Amino acid sequence: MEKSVYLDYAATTPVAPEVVEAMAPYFTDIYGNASSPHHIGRKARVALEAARGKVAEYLASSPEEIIFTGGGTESNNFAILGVAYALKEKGNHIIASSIEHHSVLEPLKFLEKQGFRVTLVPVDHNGLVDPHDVEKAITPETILVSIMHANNEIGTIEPIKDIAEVAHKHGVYVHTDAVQTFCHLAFAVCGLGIDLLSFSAHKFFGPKGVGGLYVRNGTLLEPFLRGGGQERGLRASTHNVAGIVGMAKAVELRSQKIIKESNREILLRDRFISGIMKRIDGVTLNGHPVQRLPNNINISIAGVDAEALVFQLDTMGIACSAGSACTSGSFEPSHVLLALGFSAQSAAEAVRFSLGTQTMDLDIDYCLEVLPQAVKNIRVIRK
Amino acid sequence: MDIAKDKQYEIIVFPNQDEGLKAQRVLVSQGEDFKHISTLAVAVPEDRTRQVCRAIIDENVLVSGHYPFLYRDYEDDFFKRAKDYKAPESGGEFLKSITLCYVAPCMADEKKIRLIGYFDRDITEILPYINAVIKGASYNKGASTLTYAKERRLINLYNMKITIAKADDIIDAWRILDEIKALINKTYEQRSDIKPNFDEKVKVTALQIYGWLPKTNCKACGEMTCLAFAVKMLQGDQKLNNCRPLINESSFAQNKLIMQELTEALGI
Repeated sequence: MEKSVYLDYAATTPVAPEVVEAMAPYFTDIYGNASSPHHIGRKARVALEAARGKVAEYLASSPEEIIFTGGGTESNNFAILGVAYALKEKGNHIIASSIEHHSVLEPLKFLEKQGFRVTLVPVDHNGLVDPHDVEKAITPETILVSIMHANNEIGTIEPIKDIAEVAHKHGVYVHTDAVQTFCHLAFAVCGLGIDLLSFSAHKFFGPKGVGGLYVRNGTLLEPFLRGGGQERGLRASTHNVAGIVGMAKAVELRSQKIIKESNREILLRDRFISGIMKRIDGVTLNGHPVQRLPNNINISIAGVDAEALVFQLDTMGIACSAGSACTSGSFEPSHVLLALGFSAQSAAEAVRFSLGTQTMDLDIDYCLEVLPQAVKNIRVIRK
Repeated sequence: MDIAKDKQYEIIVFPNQDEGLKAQRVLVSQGEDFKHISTLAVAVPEDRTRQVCRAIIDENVLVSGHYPFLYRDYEDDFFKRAKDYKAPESGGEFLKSITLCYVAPCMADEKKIRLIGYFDRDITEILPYINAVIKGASYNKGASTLTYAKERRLINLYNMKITIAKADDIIDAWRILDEIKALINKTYEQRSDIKPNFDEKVKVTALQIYGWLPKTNCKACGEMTCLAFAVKMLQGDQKLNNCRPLINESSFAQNKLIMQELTEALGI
């Protein structure tokens, strides 16, 4: 059989078979609208609230603090626009990091056009935000700090707890984009100390098109979708019951084995990194060496354009990513790598491998075996 | 193989003639169904693309990439155009070849292609001359890059490579690459008659730099005043990133961009 190795779990994950099984009845048998009062609707409602309970259990939050959304991008837009509009009388200044996902940066740009002020704090060469920089940027007008839990491209895990502490000292809300860490790291919302947290099901073996926003009790938030009053009136729209049930099943499956799985991935990750460094010259690891996602490998290979390498590897059956999936469409250098101090030329050499539950030792062996050939091919073309 | 109107095909592109010939020999010997376009490209059924690329790469022959053959190509006789396309007679010795390293569809516009090509030599020294010849190019001395638009195509020249986005198809790409190669060689030959443009049209003074700074004398950079900071910057004793308000405050975003370009162009 033709070799196929998927190393792009940070882009998306396959839906777990148990998740598909859990979802199936909600398309055909339990098809009711969760807002309908009759017995068919009530069945859907029960499943919906059970799902909310499971998600809350993972975060150690209350169920009513979970709002279901259509995914990570929506959750980030919701958190930022929701806080900005709810607190616009209090202030108009928002702080984020320069390496946030586009689904944070773009709503911020949108707000700037409406008179809000945005400060993007810098990161160091490993991609770490310094909580002192956040504190220095806080003004009496600041209403929100939004810093991602871990970066999607380079995998650096940010010191969210410390950032939340300094922000709260000044009475400022904290949002974190936890799309890359939710169900990948073990944490509780109270441990992070944040007010809002975004997550997305398809990053942890759940279905696409469903996610959520944790909103700490008492947090002021303007509704995101207006209509039928679902999700406490904050996010109207008929519930995606099957999707939500699937997400909850994915949370349940995943949360039982986060520590075991992340330890396994760390071993694979580090073997992969040291293996590449041994076999290929001119390799640098991008992002923080230790404080990084267990499944993230982001390397630059001198003189090898990442996109050309991704193509060579694809023909060899390996699926990985140049930069992040969202930016790999153009020759625009990644804003994340530029923020780390890369030149446009070296940013074009960064390639990301992200591991997942189905990544086995054999897959890493195969990659280490063929990578030198792929790199050689490109270096030969160059000569 | 004949091309049918109602089927999907991909065009596979090779980096140069040598590799293209070797690749097609591999395909013939393996009895693979393909249509010869030129020594530099073939068309294969869409569902065979990966296997074909794999088979070629397994024989240690190089492939640059592939992109979808469109109905449009069928209509305007792509194959005849490809066959008729002749690279102009090699003019000049400075740059001998540009090797196509990567070809793929544009993400934003699937009907266009983008590519990366490598030069057989470093062209850094000639970039300021090309900057003088091409109107409206943006030259970055520090990073040694030159960016310009050729009609709707976006072209980036680096020291050792070129990227093109939004080319119409591979024939368009070959033509543009050949034109750029000729341009580089011609510019090199005539360089003694060209005044190189290092993009320092503005002789920058400390006062001009000061003009782009926040002018708040906040002292965060360690200098007493913004003007002192500007003077130090021009001497290379201060870095732009030390001006925290300029870097962090969104209200200075435009100034920041201008200053970043300026400092890169000046290499300070």
